[in-house]
Amino acid sequence: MINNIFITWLLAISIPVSYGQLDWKTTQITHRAGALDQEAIGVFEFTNIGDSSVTITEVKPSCGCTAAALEKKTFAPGESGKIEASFKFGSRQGLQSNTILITTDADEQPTILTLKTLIPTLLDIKPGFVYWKAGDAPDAKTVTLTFGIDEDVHITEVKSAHSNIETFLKETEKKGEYQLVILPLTTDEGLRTTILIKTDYPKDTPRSFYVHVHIKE
Amino acid sequence: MANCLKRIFLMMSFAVVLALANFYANPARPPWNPEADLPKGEVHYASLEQSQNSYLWVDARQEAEFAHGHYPDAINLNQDNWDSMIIEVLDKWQPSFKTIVYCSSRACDSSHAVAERLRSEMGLTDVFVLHGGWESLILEMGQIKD
Repeated sequence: MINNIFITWLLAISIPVSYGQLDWKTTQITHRAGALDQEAIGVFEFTNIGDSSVTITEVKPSCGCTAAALEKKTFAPGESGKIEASFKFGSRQGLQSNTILITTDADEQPTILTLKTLIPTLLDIKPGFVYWKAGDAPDAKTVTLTFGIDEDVHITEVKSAHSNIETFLKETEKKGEYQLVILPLTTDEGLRTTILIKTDYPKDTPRSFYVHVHIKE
Repeated sequence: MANCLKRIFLMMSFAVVLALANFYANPARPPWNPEADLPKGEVHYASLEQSQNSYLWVDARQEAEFAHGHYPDAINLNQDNWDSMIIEVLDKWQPSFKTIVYCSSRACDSSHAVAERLRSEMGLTDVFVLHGGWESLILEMGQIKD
C-alpha cells in the first residue's frame, strides 16, 4: 500500500507539463551616464522558449523615476519582445540601481530586471547640512565641496540667505576642491536657513546647490 | 501493525538525525534570534517599540502611496523630489533623534538609498532602515491611516 502511494507520488512529480517560459537575453544592464544626461534607457529583450503562450501580467518598477514600456502583453511560443526601461535621474548622483519586477502567467516567481546607472557627481557637498544647538559656542564648521566631473568648472558665488550666517570660500590645493567655512554670529536663537552655491556648469543653464544650516532649539 | 509502527519510528528517527546534522553542519542555518542576522543598518519594529529613544520616521515611497496611508508623523522623502522634501525632514530632525526609513518591501531599495543619502550627504548618524518596510508596519499595527 505504502509502495503504491510512493510510486503514484513519484509519477505525479515526474510527468512533464506543457509550459511557457520567457528567456531573457539579459536581466541586468549597466549604463554610464554623461555629465549632462538626465535619463538612462535600457532595453531588455526576451523570447518565449516554451510551448504555450505567455502573458505578462504585471510590470512593476521599483520607483516612480523608472518607467517600463511594453509593446504587448501576450507572446506566442517562439515569439520575441522587449521591455524598454527609462530612468529619470532627478537629483540623484553616483551609482543607482533600479529594478523592474516582471510577473507572467507562466511562472509564480517574478523576474527581476536591473538597470544600473552611474551618474557623475557634479558637486559633492560633505556635509550638505550643518547645525548648532542653541547656546552652543558659535564655532565655525567646514563643508568640503568637490567637483566630480573632468571639466573646467568653478564655483561662481556663495550666498547666505540669513545675515546671522557668514561664509568664507577657499580653494584647496586639490583640483576642483573647495572648503566652505560657515560661521554663525550667534547661536542664541533657533534658525533654519540655506547657503546658495552657484556654479558655471553647464554654460547654458548653470546649476546651483544648497547647504542647509540650522540652529536647533 | 507493530512492524508498521517500528518502520515509522525508524523513519522519524532518521529524519531527526538528518535535521540535527544539518543544524550543526550548515553554515547558512537560520538564526534562533531574528535580530542577530539582520542586514547591516536594518532594525525590527518590535525592537523600536521596546526602546525609549525618540525617532524621526521617514517614508521613502512615492507621494501617492504616502497619501494613501503612512506611519503616524512620518515625513515623505523620496529621491524623485529630494531637494524639496529634505527641507521638512531637516526641520523635524533633532540631534537626539534616531531616524527610521521605510518603503514598500517589495523589490524596493528606496529606503536603503534614502538612508544612505541621509548619512553621506546630510551627515546624519543613527539612520536605520525598517526591516520588512511598510508591509511589516501594516502587520504590526493593522491598517494605518494618518
